[in-house]
This record gives sequence, structure tokens and C-alpha cells, in this order.
Amino acid sequence: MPEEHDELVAARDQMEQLVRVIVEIGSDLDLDNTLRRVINGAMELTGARYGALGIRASAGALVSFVHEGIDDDTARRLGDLPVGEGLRVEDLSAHPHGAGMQAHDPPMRAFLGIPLTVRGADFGNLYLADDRPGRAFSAAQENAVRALARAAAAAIDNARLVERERESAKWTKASREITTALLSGDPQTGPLQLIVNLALELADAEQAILLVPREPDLPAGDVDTLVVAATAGRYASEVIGQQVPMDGSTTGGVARRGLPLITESFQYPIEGFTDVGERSAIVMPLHADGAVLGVIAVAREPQQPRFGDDYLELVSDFARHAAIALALAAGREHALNQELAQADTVDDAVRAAAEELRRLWRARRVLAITFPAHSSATETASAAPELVSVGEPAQWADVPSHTRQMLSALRDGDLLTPNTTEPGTAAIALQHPEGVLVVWIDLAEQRPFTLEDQTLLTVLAGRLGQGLQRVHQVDQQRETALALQHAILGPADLPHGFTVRYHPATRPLQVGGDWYDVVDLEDGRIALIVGDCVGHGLNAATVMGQMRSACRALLFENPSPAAALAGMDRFAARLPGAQCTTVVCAVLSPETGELVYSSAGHPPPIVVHADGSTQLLEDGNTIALGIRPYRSRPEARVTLPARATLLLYTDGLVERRRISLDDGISRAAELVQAGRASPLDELANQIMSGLAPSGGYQDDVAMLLYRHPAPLELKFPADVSHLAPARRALKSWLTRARVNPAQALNVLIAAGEAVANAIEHGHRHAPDGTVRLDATATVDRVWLTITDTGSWKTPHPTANPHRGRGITLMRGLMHDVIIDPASAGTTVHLSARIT
Amino acid sequence: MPTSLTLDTARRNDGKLVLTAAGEIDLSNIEAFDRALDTAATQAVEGGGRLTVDLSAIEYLDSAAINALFARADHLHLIAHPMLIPILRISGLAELVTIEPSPPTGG
Repeated sequence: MPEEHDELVAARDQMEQLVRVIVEIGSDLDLDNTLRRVINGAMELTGARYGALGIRASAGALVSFVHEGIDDDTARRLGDLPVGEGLRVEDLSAHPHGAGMQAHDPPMRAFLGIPLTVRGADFGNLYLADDRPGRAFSAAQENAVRALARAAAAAIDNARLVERERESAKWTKASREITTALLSGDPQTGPLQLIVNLALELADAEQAILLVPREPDLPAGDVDTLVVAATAGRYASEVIGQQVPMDGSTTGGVARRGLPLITESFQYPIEGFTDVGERSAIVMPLHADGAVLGVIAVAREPQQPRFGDDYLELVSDFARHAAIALALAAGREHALNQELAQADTVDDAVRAAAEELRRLWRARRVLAITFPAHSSATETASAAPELVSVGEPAQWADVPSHTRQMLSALRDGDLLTPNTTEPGTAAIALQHPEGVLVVWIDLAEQRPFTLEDQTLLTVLAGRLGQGLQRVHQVDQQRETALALQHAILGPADLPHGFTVRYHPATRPLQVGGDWYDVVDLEDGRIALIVGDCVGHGLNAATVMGQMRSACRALLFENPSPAAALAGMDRFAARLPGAQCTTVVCAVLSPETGELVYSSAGHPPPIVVHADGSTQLLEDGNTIALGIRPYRSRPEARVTLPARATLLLYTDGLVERRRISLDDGISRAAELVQAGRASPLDELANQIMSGLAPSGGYQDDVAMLLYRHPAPLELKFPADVSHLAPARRALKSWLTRARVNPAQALNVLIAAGEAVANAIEHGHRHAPDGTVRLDATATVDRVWLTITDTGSWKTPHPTANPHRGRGITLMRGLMHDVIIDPASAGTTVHLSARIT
Repeated sequence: MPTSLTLDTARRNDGKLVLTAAGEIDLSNIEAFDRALDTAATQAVEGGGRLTVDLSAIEYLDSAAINALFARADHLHLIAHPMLIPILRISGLAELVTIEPSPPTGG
């Protein structure tokens, strides 16, 4: 009875103990603590001296031991025992697998091994052992331990999940940190350094290194070498800068495949990293948008737990975030810099930046207000500052007064300090080349402007300020350069009736080796020059500028094309870079259409007559300039018939690879022929686009068009006394245009009616008004435009007995009459076919 | 600069009253033409005949001149250079007034 009683008591005590232990086990969510509680509980239940818990990795091998009372080695040797469904041995020295346990002093005797099963998966084994003679584990103890093992398994599973959650949360938090830090552009730590630092800390590792492609900006497939760009932990300074080939290296393979891996050996040696000893390492790619940004390798110390496969997922997420953040950070700066780089003026830059900021924050609108440096805040109240609004149009006056006050106050406060006092908005002041720029971001959704937002805004505003300064300097230099270039190139105002096109081959220069010139000579004639200095770019342009000026000066001295070219010949012989310049120089008598010309190795001018017949001006030509400076130069004459079109050009217009120059010239002539009825400006566009190679002009191109006679352009006071002189000028022009006398009279009368109307009605109340008369001839038509500065009144016969049949007459005499009465003045368009 | 215009009214040998105009007629001298035309036409009507207006030497005229001619259309006979005839026709004057082309001259 007492024995029975004792057993019952013992069983009850054991049960109580078991329940307590199980409750204790379940009370802890920390995995390490839970494991320790399981061992301690089992030892308590059985009175065993030694306990261990072997935990299995997913592959099946026991990877880690938690143990009590024994050393690592003994614990590991316990793991060699075949536990199976459970193993209870009274004396290990007699057991076939027990040999390993005899190394322990004193030797292990009693042994109990029970498997831990979690959700049907073998999680590991619980081991109990004792070395005291006569100690053995009873069947009841085995049962108690099995019950404990089941409860423990559930608790461990739970703790493991929590553990993973925690670990995962840690990495997620790190990912966020990286994004924030990279996007705010922390200048203290480079983005790559930040990533390795975090990876080292999170993985509880000994070393972390980050490799990037040696040549950035290459497509993923073309990267052949990686270089260690950032390191953290041991040997950091030894490892940095080492190069690793993409082919035949573990890091290269990871970069190429884009998949992370866990390894203990590296294919290609990295001194100070791969030779540290056999240890668990995780290698992860930094991939974003198909581009290899880099590879991170993290290694633990040899005695640390190896990286588990479940770690791969966590680390991959981190790497993905880091890569995206890297790409984004680069992209944002890139986008802003790009916008600034493309801006030609500070105003363009401000607008582009405002648009970029609006995109970045998906803002409803962004205002950029420029406060000039010299004005004070009080002045601003009266004069509206310059305002750019993107997203929604807005004027300074539209902005609520409290916002206006806040924005005005910012310009006098600290620069680069965000103001977020108005909910859902942020404002910041920054340096502007002409004062202070205040940017105001009005968020679309009423969300708060977070700390991260503020950091990013500060950084971008700082860069914008620097960018504006840069644009300002470049803009000033550019304006100077442009003014000089245009001064070199040619007349800003061409005489009436000429159209030019100019295309320099070398950007951003606006001049090249080609030039054109139109010069009014003292005798009333007009000189036309098109030339081509060898090469293009800046050198050719400087030579060109001198040749062009020389030609002008020579023509003023002696208005003969041959004489001018002879002078240029000698000049070119002495001017470095001017040899082999080709040029055609022509002197035109605008009244008669007579053209005297001389060519120095230049492609022949093209004349297309009104009837479409084409003529190449090939006479008067000899070799290019500067080669035989005293050779005599020929001169030829031709008379441009009325409504003929003259084209002077450089070879850049017509010269193409694999096409003969003659074919190119014929092609140009065809285009002039096809467009001979078009206005000159239109014809110039047709020629330029019709001859442009598929990739655009690669060479300098200069082109000069003239149609005889030059259009008439008259401007005279709105007074009847000017009727007769105007009529005489128009009559003379019609004669030059070869309009027959009967048709000329019709045109004169129709134009006279329009002019009379302009004088009589347009200027009754404005005696100082002027009338403009323009006349242009194309192949088969004359076009007239009569413009006044008053308002047209339909003539009424009863109002003035002398007028009233004017419009009938105009319509009867002309083919087209369009009267366009506008408030600023009336324009009458007349056109008539001519035969 | 006023437009050049000469006006001369004379009775020809055959007794017809003729207003000969030479030059150009536009707004600057229309008043002179109108006055001369009025005087001559009145004179011709009083004499029981029509006024012949010889425009052979007129190189240019505008609608003001045509209006002046319209105003006395019933009493006029016109002589005009062939080049002017289309203008007189387009204006409608030819429907009311007899028009005789001037003979070609050597000059």
C-alpha cells in the first residue's frame, strides 16, 4: 500500500510537474528561452543530469544544439544516436551506437531520446542522459517526456513563427530605413555603404561586402567585371577595390542569374573575404529593372549558426528594396538633373523643376515664386512677384492672402527649411540667381507632409538652388556665344526678297564652316555670297568668319565678283585653314535681274524659270581659293527672267554618300522646280526637308533663295498725295515682273481702290496713319496685300459721291479679293493670275 | 506730289463739245475732274447735245472718276483707250454710256 501510495503520489506529482513545465514552456515566445525551458523541464521531470535539444534544419541534419550540463562536443555526439520513434537505454556502454559517449568522463550510462514533431515535420530530438551508476529512466518517465515533447513541439513551433516574424520585421524595417536614407540623399554615408552596414548588422555577420559593375550604365548582359565598392566588418579595408570577373565567380553568377544563394565556398578568391575560413555566407543580387546594380555577400563567423534557407527570403526582400531604393535615388536625382541640364534658361529650369516636384509628390499643383533680391517684403505686397504654376494655372492674386504672407515671409527666413504649417502643403525657400525662389507644394490628397517628405524636399531644393546657379552661368555664356556666332554668320536682317537656311553640323554651335551673305552695294546692286570653308565645328567657323568679312570688304572696294574672289584667293593663301574654301559670289541688279557671278570650285547655282525650265550657272568657275592665289578668275553673266527662282547652296545640301554630286544637284533643281509657285519661305522648307538624309544633315548646310523680282514693299502716309508715287512704284515693279500692260493696269486699279479706301476710311480720324503695300510674284500669279492701321468701313455711295464702286471694281479685276477687317487695321489681299 | 491731270474743254469743228482729259485721275484730283465734267456737261446740255469725254490719254482712273461719269451718264459719250474699256465695262458704265475706243496712235 505505502509503495502503491508512493507511486500514486509520485505519479500525481509528476503530472503536476508536467503541467507546470508545459505551462511554463508555452509562456515564452522567445525561441531560445523556449528551448531552454523544454530541456530544463525534461531534466526536472526525469531527474537527469544532462539534457540537450538538437534542432534539425529543413534538409534533415541536426544543425544546432541547446544543452544543459554538458559541453558542445558531447551534445553533438548525442545527436549521432539513432533516436527514431524514441530510444531508452539503461547503459550506453553496452549499446552498439554508444561508443561515442564513452569519451565523456565519467562515461554516459542512462539515455533517453525522444523526437520532437512539429506540424508533422521532424523538428529535432530531445536528449536526456545520466552518468551516475544505477540511474535509469523508467517507462513512466519516458511517457512524461513524450507528453512534454508534444507540448514543447507546439510551443517551439509557436516561438519559431514569432521568431521569424520578428526577424522578418527587422529586415523590413531595415528596407524602409534604406529607402528613406537613400532618397533623402544622406551625404554622410554613401548609399552603398549604408546597405552593407545594415546587412552586416541584420545578419549578425562577421563581414559584408558589396560589389558593383566596374563600368556603370552598361546593360546587364555586357557587364564583365565586378568591383568591391563597399565593405563592413572584418578586413573591410583589405577587401575594398578588389575585382571579380562576372564569369567563373560566385558573385558574378548571382549577379547574372538574379537569385540569392547560401554557400560556404566561393569560386573566385576575394582576398580577405573568401580566404577567412569555411563559414556560412549568403550572396544576394541587387537587381532593379533588369539592370545589375550590384551583389551583396555577407559571411558569418565559422562558429555562428549557418544561414537557414528561410533566411534567403528575408534577405532577398531586403536586397530588392535596397536595389529599388538605389535605382530610385539615382533616378530622382537623375530626373531633376536631367531637367536642369536640358533647360536653356533659368526660367525654363524653374518650370521644369516645378513639374518634376509635382510628379514626385503627385501634388495638385506646385507654385514657384521668384522674389527679386532688391525688393523688400513690403514692396512685394504691391508688386506681384514672378510666379510659375504647374498643375493648375494660378496668379499671385489667386493665392489666399494668408498663404501669400507665409510665402513672402519665407523669402526673408532661412533657406532650405521646409515650412509645413499649412496642412497638406510644404513650402521651402532656396537660392535663385536673381533673388530667392520659394517653392510651394500643394498635395493632391490631404495627407500630411511627413518627416521623410521634408528631408527629400530639403535635399532636392538644395540641388535645385545649385542647379539654377549653374544654368544661370551657362545661360549667360550661351547668350554671349550666340551673339558672337550670329555676328560671325551674317546679316540679322536680310534685304527684302531673300530667304536663307543655315544648318551647322556641330552642336551646340550655331555656326560652322559654311556661310551665306547678302550685301547691299553702294550702286544699288546686291551681292549674294555662299561659301564653304573646309571642315566644320569651331575651327572652321573662325576661318569662315574671316573669309566672310574679307569678301564683304572686297566687294565694297570693287563690286565685281571676279575681283572679290581674286582678293579672297590671296587672303586664303595666307590664312591657315582657309585653303580650299569654295565660294560663289554674284552681284544682282534688282531692277533688271542681271546677275554677274564668279565661282571658286563651288557647286553651281540653280535657276528655275517660271515655265519650269532649269539652268545650272556653271560658267565663271575655276578652282577653290588659296591654292593658286594669282590665277585669274573668270566672271559670267546671266539675266534672271521675271519670276525665276535662284538657289545658291553649299555641298552639304546635296552631297550624299554613294550618290553622285550631279544627282544631288538634279534633285535640288527638281525641288525648286516643283515649288516654283510656292512662297520662298515655303520653298526653302520644302528643299531642306526634301533633301535631308534619314538621320538629318551631318554636314554644314547653307542655302540662299531669291526670286526675281524681289517683292515690292511700300510704306507711305495715308494721304492722297502719295497715291501717284505709290502707283508708279507698283507699275515699275509689275514691269519687272513682266506682267503685261493690260493686266498691269487691272492690278494698278484694284490696288488703287484698296489704297484709296485705306486713305479715305481707314484714316479719317488718324491723319498720321500709314498704308503698307506688299506685292509678290510667283510663277503665274501676283499677290498684293494692302494694310492700313484704321478700321475698314464699307464704302457707301451716298456717303461720298466719289466712292462706292471700288469693291465691285476690285472683284471684277482680280481673281481673289479678301478683305480682313481687324481692330488693329484692315488688310486687303488681292491676287490675279498672270499670263 | 499731286497726280498729273490736264483738262481741256473745247468745241470741235463739227460743233460737238469735247472734254479732253490727259494723265491720271484719282482721289487727289477728282474734285477738279468733277468740276470740269459738271461745267462741260451743263454747257453741252444747254446746247441741246451730249458731251464727248475723250479719255484717250488717261493712263489711270479709279472708281471716283467712274462715279463722276455715272452721275452724268445720260449726257455723255466716251472715247477711251482700249485698255480702259474692260474697267468701264466691269463698273457697268458701258451699259449707260456709249464708248468708242480711241484709234491707236503712234506714241
